[in-house]
Amino acid sequence: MPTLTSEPDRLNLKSEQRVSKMAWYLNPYLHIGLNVVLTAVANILFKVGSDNTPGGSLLGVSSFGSPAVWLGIGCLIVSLFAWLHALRFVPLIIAFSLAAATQVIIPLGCWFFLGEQISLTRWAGIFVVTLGIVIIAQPLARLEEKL
Amino acid sequence: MTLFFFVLLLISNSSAIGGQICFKHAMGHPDVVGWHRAAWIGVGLIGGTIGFFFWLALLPHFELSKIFPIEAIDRPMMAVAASFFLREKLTPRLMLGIAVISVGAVLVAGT
Repeated sequence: MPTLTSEPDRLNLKSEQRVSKMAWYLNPYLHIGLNVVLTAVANILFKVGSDNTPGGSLLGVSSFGSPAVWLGIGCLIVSLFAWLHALRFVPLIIAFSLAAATQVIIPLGCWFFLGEQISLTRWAGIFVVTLGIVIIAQPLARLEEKL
Repeated sequence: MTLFFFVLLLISNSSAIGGQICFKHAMGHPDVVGWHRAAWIGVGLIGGTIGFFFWLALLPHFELSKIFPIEAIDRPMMAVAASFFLREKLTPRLMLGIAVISVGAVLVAGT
């Protein structure tokens, strides 16, 4: 059964103490961020690659002729390793929730790099997702400061 | 959306979530090392792939803007699955954050 816990013992303190003793580049939260950024970069590269190759083939196989698509696949492979490293130390619920930042980064990346339009409702959604991430991340940041 | 397609969506999400549970078990359990760990990661990748193909099967039947917001139910589903299978702690604050993110994901994907 799911375990509902009180506010003070909500975090895995032993895991957090291990994290605080790590070299900065091994910090799992940094790796979640890396995963988010690489996933966004991969999707933008897939879009660029598929736009620059002739269409009409089944399941977009012709896109594999584009270097951008292969670079995107490379980004996804690296992002998987970053994700697996993060999961060694961070509970899945928290990691998965923080990774929702892709919902913010991908539209912003498409707007900035590809010139796609963002509607008011989507801007509102980006704000609400960011708010949810802050709600989850705030106690983690406070705990890191204490350790 | 008919019950048949909703079940397909649930299978797609469940497979992807099952894959993540396997990843977490592979990386987070102290007794899972070496080939044992690689096997769990492999099962996780298979779960994610099955979820992806079910998703591909759904896409031709719906407009992406209509089906993608419904996919946002994967976050509450993940929370329930992780607390049930991995005994992870689900606090009121975490549930609030997940609910807010899910609403935001619907707004982002549905416009």
